[in-house]
Amino acid sequence: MIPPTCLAMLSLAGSLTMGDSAVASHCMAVDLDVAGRVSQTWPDPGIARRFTLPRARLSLGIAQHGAGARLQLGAVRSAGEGSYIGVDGESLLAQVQVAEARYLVPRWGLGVAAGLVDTAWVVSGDDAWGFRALAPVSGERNGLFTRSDLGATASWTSPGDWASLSLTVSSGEGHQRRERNDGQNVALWFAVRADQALPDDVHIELQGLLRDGSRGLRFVRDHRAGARLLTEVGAIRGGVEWVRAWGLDGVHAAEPTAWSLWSSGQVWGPVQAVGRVDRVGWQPGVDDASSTTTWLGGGLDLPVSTPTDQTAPGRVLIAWQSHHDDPGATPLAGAAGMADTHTLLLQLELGARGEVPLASP
Amino acid sequence: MGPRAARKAVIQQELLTANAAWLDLDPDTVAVKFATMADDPYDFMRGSTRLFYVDMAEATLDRERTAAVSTAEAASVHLVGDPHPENLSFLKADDDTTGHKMVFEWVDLDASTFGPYLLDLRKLVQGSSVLTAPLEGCEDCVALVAEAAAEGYFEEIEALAEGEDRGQPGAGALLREDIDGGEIFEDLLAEALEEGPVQHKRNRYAAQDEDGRWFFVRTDPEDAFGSAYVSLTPREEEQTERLLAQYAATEAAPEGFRVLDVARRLGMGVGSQPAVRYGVLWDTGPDTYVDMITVRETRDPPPIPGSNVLAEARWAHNAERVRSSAWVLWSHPAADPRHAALSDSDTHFKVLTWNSWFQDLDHLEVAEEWFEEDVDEDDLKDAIELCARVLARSHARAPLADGGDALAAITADLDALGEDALVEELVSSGRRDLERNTRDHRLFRELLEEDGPLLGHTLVTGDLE
Repeated sequence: MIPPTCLAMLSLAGSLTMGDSAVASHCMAVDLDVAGRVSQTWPDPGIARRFTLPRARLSLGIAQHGAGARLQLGAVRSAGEGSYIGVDGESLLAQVQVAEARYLVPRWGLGVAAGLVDTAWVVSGDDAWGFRALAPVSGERNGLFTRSDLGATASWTSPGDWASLSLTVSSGEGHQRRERNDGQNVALWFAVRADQALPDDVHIELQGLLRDGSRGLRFVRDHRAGARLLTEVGAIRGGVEWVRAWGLDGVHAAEPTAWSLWSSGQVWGPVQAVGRVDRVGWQPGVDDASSTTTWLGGGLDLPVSTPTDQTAPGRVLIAWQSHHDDPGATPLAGAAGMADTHTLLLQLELGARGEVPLASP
Repeated sequence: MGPRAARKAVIQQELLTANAAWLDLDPDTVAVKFATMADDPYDFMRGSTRLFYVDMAEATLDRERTAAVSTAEAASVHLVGDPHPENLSFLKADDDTTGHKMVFEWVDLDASTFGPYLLDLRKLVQGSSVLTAPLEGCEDCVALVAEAAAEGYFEEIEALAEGEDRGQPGAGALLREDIDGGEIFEDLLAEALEEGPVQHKRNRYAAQDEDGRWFFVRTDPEDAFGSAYVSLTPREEEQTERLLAQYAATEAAPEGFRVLDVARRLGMGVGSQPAVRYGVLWDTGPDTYVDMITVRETRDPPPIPGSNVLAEARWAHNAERVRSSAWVLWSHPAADPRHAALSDSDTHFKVLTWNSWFQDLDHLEVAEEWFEEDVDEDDLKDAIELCARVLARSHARAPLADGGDALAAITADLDALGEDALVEELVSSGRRDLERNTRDHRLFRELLEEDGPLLGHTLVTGDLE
């Protein structure tokens, strides 16, 4: 078994939980996640049955003692839905999602990274939820967070891993936009874990987030606060999270609140079950201006052996996704005919990762 | 941040997004467009279609709610997308140079897509309200035009549902005895019939050289603020050669089609003003009829709330979307026999006839006629009611996003809603939309003063950081 030292370079969570023994000497890690989906949607939106690519991610990292660099590419359609103006038609393109230089001092639990850096709330949520190919975490899916941003992150993990925190200073425009103002977003993310006081197969973690931000040419506020509780008991895990926004996508008056509740686990051998409910209240104090999305699914781990003996890398997943908008949240306010959308999807997911030692130059 | 500053931020963001494709490629034309919008509230409305729809879809804010669109079918109607009154045009649907087979259609379908039929009605009422807002002495003009739109649309749908022919064989049939086109559109038709045969526009913008060859009268680009023809750049010459060779091979080009002159057309339209637009003088041989077409770049439609964007993928590109929409929304597929879709690499163009048979409404002329007391409230009401009837026919004629029957879907929805409720909704949304346009226009002018002619956009030069 290859120790996951270099692979740890590929994730924020890895850097936050590294101990002394995790310092990679000189290696390169590759992490690839791909998922292909076929889905059927009701009511018929014009093209009801279609193939999509919900996940295509390639991460490359090189570690050299405490220093390293990381590049993560995702796939995006060069013309969005509703647009015809793309590259070579509407080709899928590789999009740089993370490109960072990183330096770790594991002895003190410290790490710094600069470049296009992870949004800690999104990455920590993805790790906890574990089904990003089914849906990104609530905050990202509902537009409250972007996957990454240009800036710098400093992180610290306590001895014994009972606490972690990271402080990120970034442009505030996200990975899809260049800087629009000279104000910086400042985000503090922290996690507290109770593992040492719990049995080995039980994990409880509390995460929090505070962000002071601005967006666009006119510095529209873009503040966030969030809390997330994670639990894991044996093969079953679950979580609940809450995010409040002050300002959204350049709209100063927007103050949505998003809730997400999920659970997943191995229910019988290779068979998994997953469920999640997202609810976003778009207007504070207005009861009938919320959107609710529900997922229910079952997965089957594929019998693929891995040299690292980590979690099974392949999965077939079938899921039902149901979305409902209250009258105050439908795209055209009040239009009952636009309130509900249902999707049945089947997808094949594969995650492959590995690392190789590098010869000294 | 106060409400004014917050609103300015939204206006700035959405207008920069709407013009993103042109801002770095041709910033001067965007600056001219913004200046045009600043000069006139109606032109501001025409240039801010994206803002209208973004506001409508902004779930984080308190919005006007509708009791209509109660079914998914009623939310997937083929929309005109931007049916303001200046978008309704008389067209000449035949090749006969002396014939009068005139039709009346929503001519600019650049914003066409699928969505709730009510959006087109709201856009019509917004445009009509902005058009009539400056008319002094028009008592509660918003209610007047909103009622006219609601009643015209409702009654036309009901009539169609009862078996009236959904086609629209000609303007003569539409301006029938029981539907008064009003002074405004009747004058417009008279203008088309008078100016069409004598080719008023061609003679205004083109001339003949000593050998009798027609050419566009060009303006120096430096002085071309406003409507003008200018010479092509070498790159544009190459592009027009490719496009017109492609056009000559389409069914829209008449037998013997030959190009006499091509020039870049500036200052046309409002929303699409920065789009590449060429004027083409053509005939079919010596001593034949000399006419004009425009070849204009097409761009993405605005983000219409809840539009069935997946259905849009059935069209290969924007020009095909526009052309295909005309096939189903127009009463006569060849209402403009020269209409075609062309492609040049990743840029797509639509071709339309441009001559004096084509006449559309001009809000400034309506205002002038109002002040001269040539038109009154009844004429305004008749004109907007007519717009709504043509809109109803277009909606009823085109299939839904899933291919279903739009007339059945709209009829069922309107029956459940009732005419009075539709009137009430449109009067209310019309007042709100007019108020918003008036306020936004004022804030937009302030933004131009504060942030400059490109609204603070920083031009990208050299490498991206």
